[in-house]
Amino acid sequence: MRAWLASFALVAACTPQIEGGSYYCGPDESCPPDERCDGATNLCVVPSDVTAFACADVPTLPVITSCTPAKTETHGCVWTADGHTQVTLAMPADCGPRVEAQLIFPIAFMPLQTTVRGAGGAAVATSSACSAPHGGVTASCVAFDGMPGQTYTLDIASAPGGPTCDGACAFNRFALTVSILRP
Amino acid sequence: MSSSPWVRWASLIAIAAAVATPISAARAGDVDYFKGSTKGNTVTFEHAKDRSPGAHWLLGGLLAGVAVSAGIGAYYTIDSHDVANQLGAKTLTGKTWDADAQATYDRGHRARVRAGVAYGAAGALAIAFVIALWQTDPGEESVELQPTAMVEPTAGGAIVGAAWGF
Repeated sequence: MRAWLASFALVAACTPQIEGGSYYCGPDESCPPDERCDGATNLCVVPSDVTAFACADVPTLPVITSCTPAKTETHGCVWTADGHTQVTLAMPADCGPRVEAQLIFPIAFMPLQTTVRGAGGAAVATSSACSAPHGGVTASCVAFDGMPGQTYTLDIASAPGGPTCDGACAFNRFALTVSILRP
Repeated sequence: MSSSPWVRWASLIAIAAAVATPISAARAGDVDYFKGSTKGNTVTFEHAKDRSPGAHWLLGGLLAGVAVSAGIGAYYTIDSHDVANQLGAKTLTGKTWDADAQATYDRGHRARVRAGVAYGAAGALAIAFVIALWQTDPGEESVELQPTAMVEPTAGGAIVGAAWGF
């Protein structure tokens, strides 16, 4: 009997057994067959466990008072394909530090990018991909030299040409890390 | 009851003819008076006829087809096992379901389909082999072996025997 079972197991072709929650969603909410992307966790789950995309964070950054190296993080959301979420970043009056901003967001939904705008709204720098997707998220980074006393706006919006599930996933959440590197 | 001389002569001729006919027939047929005793020395057995070369080629080809199809099925089965082991998961893997994962999954699906087709072909060829084996069976034939007499003179006599070769 055991030999028969072993023979059958050898001959029978296998279908991968993938339990819900085993994989993070890929671009365009891609998931294994028979699974769907969960909006709350961006994990691939069975359809009955799917919850809608949720995000209620409002990003804020603390006022930078010195050029001492520091790092701060905030979270936020972009809700539509043409939506923008802005974070204000004021430079200290007595120095102009090197600033790096890293935007981390799930790759399941609309890809995001950061545009640094100076006074008057002129674009100073735009972020680009700075890490390979890992753990269901990817990162986009931008760096610029801040001018003393200048206020900048970090404008977070959809990356041009990114997939949006034909509009069905034109939203995303993000974690924004700002590092003050040196004067 | 009396009869005419013609009738008596005719009766005698008829009786003589009836007696003479078997005797003359026996002489004409060269009767073997030892037939009864020699028949017991004949060895008869059933012998399977040989298949034709065409039948051999057909059966060999079908058998080779079974082996090749089963081999292909096994190859794709192993491939689908690899894919299943590669992608199968019960807990969070930390991986993203990206285009590569989907391509691997699709490869496994194709392997499963191909394995099924190959095993189906192997089964069909195996059935065809059995049918061909049955249909090309040439049957059996009877073979009779006549004995060869052997006489070996010995001192004061001889050894007499018989031998059958096959």
